Amino acid sequence: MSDEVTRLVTLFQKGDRQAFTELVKAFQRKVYALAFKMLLNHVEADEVAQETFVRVYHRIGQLKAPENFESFVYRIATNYAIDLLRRRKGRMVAMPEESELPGSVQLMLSMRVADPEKILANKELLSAILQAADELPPRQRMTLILHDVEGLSKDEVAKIMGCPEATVRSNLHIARGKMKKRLGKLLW
Amino acid sequence: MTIRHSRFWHGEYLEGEVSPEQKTEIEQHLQGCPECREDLERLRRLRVYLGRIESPDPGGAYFDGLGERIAARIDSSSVADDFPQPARPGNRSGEVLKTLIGLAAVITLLFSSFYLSGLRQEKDQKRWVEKASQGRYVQTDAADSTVVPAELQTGINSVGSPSPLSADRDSLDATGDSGGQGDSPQK
Repeated sequence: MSDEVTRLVTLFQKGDRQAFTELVKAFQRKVYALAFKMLLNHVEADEVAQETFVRVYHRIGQLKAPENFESFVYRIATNYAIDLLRRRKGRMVAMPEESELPGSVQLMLSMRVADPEKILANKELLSAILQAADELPPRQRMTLILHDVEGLSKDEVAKIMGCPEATVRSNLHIARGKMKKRLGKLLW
Repeated sequence: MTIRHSRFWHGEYLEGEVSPEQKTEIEQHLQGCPECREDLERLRRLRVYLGRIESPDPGGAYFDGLGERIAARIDSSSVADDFPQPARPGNRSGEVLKTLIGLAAVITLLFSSFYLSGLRQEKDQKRWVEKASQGRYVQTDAADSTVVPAELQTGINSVGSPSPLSADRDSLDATGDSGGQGDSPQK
C-alpha cells in the first residue's frame, strides 16, 4: 500500500491526474472519518473532505518526500478542521441526534453487547465522551483524536500538527486530564 | 516520586514509553498510592473507550460521488486562480480600521493645533491687557511676543495697517473696561 501510494504521488507530481483520482479514492474515507470525529457533523466533514483534496491538488509541489503523503493529507485536513472549529467558536452547534444523520453516519462505541440496558449505557457513555471532547480547545481535541481515537503515534501526530513531540505529550496529558475530570464516575 | 510527577507519566506508562528505571519508580509509587492507582485505571478506561469510537459511514454512494465533486471544485478553483483573489473580509475590515484610525489621528492633530493656537492667542491677549492696564508696556503685534515700553511706542502703529489687537483694544477702551491707566497706541 505504502509503495503504491508513493508511486501514485510521484506520478501525480509529474502531472498525472488519474493518479490523483486514485489517491483520493485511497484516502477519502480516512479524511472524512477524521473530520467527522473532529466536527461531529456530516456537512462540515464533507466540506473538509472536499477542500482537503483540492488543497492537496494545488500544493502537491510542496511535498518533498512522496512517502510522507499521508501525513501531508492529514495535516491539511486537521488544519482546515481546526479552522472550521475556530470559526464556529461563539456560535452553538448542536450535537447530532441519530435521526438527523444521513444514512448510517453516526459515531458508535464498538462494544459487542446484546443487553438493551448496556446498549443504552453505551450510547450515554459515547454521548458524554463526545460532549467532553467537544469542550476541549481545537488543538488539544485534535491531538486526542489523532492519538487516542485514530491510534497514530506521537511522532506522527507531531508531524501532522506541525509541532514538537513534547507539545503533543503535553496537549495529550492536559486533554486526558480534562476528559477524566468531565467524565467523572462514568469511567468507573 | 510525587503524585503529580507520577500522573504526568501515566499515559506513557500505559503505552510502554517509559524507561525501565521510570517504570520501576512509577510502580513503586503506585503500590503505596491508591489515588494514583485510581487515576491510572481511569486513564486506562478512557483510552479504551476512545479507541473504540468507530468511524462513521455515510454510505458508498457518498464516496462514489466525492471524487467528481472534488474534481469540479478543482476546475472552478483553477479558473479562479487566474484572477486576482478578492480581499478576505478580515483583511478588508482591517483596511477600513486603518483608514479610520488615520482619519481620527489627522482630525485630532488639526483640532489640537487649532486649540493650541487659540490658547496662545488668548494668552497673548490677556498678557497684553494686563500690561496695558498696568500702563507699563504696550504690545505692538499679537503675533509678535516682543513688548516695548509705552514711552517708546509713540507713532509705532500709526504707520501701516493697525495690529489685529487694535480693534480689541479700541473696543475695550470704548467700553471703559481697560482699567484706564494704559494708553492705546492709537491715542
